[in-house]
Amino acid sequence: MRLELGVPLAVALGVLAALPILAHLTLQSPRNRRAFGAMLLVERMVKRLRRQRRITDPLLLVLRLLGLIGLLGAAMAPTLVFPEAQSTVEGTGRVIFVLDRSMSMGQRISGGSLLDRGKGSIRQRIGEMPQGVQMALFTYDDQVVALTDGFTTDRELVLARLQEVETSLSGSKLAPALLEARRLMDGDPSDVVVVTDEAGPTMVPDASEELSRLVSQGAGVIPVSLAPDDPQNVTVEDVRYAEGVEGGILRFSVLNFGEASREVRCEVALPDSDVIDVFVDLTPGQRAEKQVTLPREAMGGVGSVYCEDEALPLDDRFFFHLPQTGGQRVLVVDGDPGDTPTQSEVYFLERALAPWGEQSSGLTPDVVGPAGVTSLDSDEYQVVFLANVADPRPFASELKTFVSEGGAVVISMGNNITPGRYNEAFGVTLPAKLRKVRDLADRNSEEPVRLRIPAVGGGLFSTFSASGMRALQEIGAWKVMTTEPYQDSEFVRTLLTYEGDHPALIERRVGQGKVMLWTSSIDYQWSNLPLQAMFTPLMHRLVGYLGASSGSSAQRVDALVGETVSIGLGRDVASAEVRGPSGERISSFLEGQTVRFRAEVPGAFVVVGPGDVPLAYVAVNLDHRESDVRTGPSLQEVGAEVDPDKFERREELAPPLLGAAGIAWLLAGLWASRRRTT
Amino acid sequence: MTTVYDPDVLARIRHLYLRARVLTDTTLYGPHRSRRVGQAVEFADYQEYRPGMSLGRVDWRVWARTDRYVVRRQELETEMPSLVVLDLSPDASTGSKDAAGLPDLESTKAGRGLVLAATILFWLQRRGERVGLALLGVAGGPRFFPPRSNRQHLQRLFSELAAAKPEGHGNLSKGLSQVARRIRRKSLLMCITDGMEEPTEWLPALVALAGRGTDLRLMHLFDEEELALQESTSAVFYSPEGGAAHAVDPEGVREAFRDEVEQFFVEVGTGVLKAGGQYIRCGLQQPVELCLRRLASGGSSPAEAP
Repeated sequence: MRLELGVPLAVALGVLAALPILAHLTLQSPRNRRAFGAMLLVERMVKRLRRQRRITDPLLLVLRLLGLIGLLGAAMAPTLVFPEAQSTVEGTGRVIFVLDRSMSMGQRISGGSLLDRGKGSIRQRIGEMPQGVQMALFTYDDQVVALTDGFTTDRELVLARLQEVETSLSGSKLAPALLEARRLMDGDPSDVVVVTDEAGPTMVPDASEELSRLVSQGAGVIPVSLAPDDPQNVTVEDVRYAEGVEGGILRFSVLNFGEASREVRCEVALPDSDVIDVFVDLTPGQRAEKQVTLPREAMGGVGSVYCEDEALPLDDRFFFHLPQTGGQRVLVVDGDPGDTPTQSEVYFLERALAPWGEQSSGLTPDVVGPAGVTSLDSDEYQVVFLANVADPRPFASELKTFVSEGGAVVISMGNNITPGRYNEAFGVTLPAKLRKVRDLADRNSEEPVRLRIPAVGGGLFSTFSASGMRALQEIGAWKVMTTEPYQDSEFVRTLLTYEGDHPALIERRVGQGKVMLWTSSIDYQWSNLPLQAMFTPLMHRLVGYLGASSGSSAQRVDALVGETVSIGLGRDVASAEVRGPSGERISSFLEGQTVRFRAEVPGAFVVVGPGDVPLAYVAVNLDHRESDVRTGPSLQEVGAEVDPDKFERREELAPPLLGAAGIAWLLAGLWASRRRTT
Repeated sequence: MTTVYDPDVLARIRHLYLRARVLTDTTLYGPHRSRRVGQAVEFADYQEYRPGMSLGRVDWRVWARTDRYVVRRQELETEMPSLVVLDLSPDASTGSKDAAGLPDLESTKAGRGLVLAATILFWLQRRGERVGLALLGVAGGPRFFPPRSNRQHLQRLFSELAAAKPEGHGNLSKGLSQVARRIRRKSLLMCITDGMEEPTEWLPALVALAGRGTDLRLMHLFDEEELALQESTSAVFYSPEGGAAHAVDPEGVREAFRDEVEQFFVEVGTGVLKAGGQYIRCGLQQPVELCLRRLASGGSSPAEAP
């Protein structure tokens, strides 16, 4: 209900007219003057005198004011507008039912869902209609489905089709449904019953133009609003993984679309079936952030976060990708078994990677000689260290394949290294071609040349604090392997340098994997690295960084329900199959290197190639915008803007206001004359 | 300057004389002793004789009658001039009704003040006291007449009273200070005023007067009806002395004004009592005899409602 003013200017004029009258009535000064011998006491209470009541006859003032207000009110031609849309069919003989089956219609209410209530409403109307009325039934979410073939008088058919309607997982678009209704009307008048929960801020406003066309063609639109008084829904909006201590941190945000504060239980299900329970406090209409620390070792894959919500269970789970954390298997190829520990890279590496044994460190290093490298599988090993290996040529091709499929190789220098052999063996796979050994400082008399604090943040250094980054400066080298000139690019990055701009650690991305070049030695011959406090954290972080981003050649893809997912496999495969969340086969198309399929439900999908080799993991989620069940502008409100005559009732207030003003003035006159008489 | 031949003044003199004589005869004359000039020693009471007292003070007549040794105790009485201070500030020209007032001042506090002053002067003079008069708030500034005892002096004071009108400008504090400079230390001082000036300004002057050893009596004039704001119609209230006027709705402020009045009376009364004086309320709606009896009996309480 609202008030409209036909002549708003009358308000200003009325105020201008009323103010002097009111001022005169309230501030009028007495005519009598009286000599008073106790003015001292009057002065004392002058403040009270200012607040004193000077109105000699409040009743007369009120009556006159009422009369004035009534007169002004009538002059403004006010109209009281009530929302009142058509509520029953009006004998056009044709009724089109439009039923919303979007996800929000799955909200639980007493006795079922909103969809059940909507279907009940339609059933009741059908039951009340006389025989012979032609009916049609549409349902809509983000697409319109005609459940009847045009109009039909077969009630049983309509009721049976109505019974089969189920809630979808999609959003709602009303405009196409109204368009279909208008097409079906074909210019003849019909009643259109729209059954919807009016959820979301844009659903009804977006349909205003189509509503206008529908009404202009003579349709009697009957809105049936199913919006609950207190809509509630909780949904997981987003999940993000961040590297950190232990296995890293998983942050997720939960949205509360209800109007009440809640505490919900959420469970984080990791790909290896581990479940972490957390409770989240939610304020009305707000987003809550929560984070959990992952175990030191967690399998990579697709996990999910589920938050309990009885109001609308369909959108309670969110699927996310999780890289493998911890547990990486590292192969250390010892190219120079030394006579003493200080001359052995492997001695230091083993103690850095697994200082307390395999179980505690989360890493499993295997040590072999160059001859032991026979075959490399990126699913078995994630990282390979070539420690001062003299000639990598015998297994170079296997290493390159290993890298291209997602593995990582770290090459460290030493006295055994011959640049030509490496350049020949790896070619462009090397981060930079090796040139020659160079002395940076005298090993016996000078301090080593220190590392600089890396300018690049994130990535390899994301878990180091500021003090940790400063500690990197303690690492230094007396001797390094120089490289041919190269440029940092999309594929090559210099991660660490020594003072004097000598590269210390260079990374190259190759296929799905990475190759890293440490230009000094890992033992104590060329550098002081193994004796520094940062040695163990740096090696752990290096393996965690390389292992998390590699380890599997399978792609990770995010998608929304209802989308057609296209995945470029990057290589030719003979066949590819898409498997759904329950392992079922999903209809898909393989065109060259691209596989396409439509995601109908949320969950973890996987694309597998020949031999069940995973080619891609797909996390499919619902669009959280569809979870907003808060009622937007109603169909009645939008209809009132489109055609006020059909959606509103108007009452003119000027006549009763004039009558009231007349009565007030009459009473004021009577009262004033009575006062004069007495 | 007003002459004694002014018909109004003559009428007032006669009226004042008659009112003063009647009131003195009916109200004040009987119950009080007459004081005579030169009577220095006066009997006070008896006291049992104790060893060490002078035998010359033993009343042997009492011993003869009662066989008891008692000593006569006497009080020393000295001559004490009297001064009546009458505040005739313009505020005193208001009031509602006073049957005891003068013909043209019968409904004012000033009229009541003139009658009271005349009566007290007449009474004291008849007792042989030396009487003086100070007129405050009259046109031309304060007028002072030192205490004397002859009859011509009383006639002159009556003439001055008859000619006095509340047409000047009130300044009680200044007037009392001038009086203090002109009286002797031991005096009987009767101040008749409505006190309608800030007590914090004039009470200190009164206290200073009392500090000079004067026997102070303050007769507080007021009109009960005026202070009760009996009228129901609103009016612009103004002071005859000038100053700001205020539109007043009596019905609206009656309660608040009553609180102010009570506070004012307590303030004045307490101030007088603290100064060691007597405080006598004289309402216009009360008989003037009642006011005089209160004067004779020692005053009234500051908290007593007007």
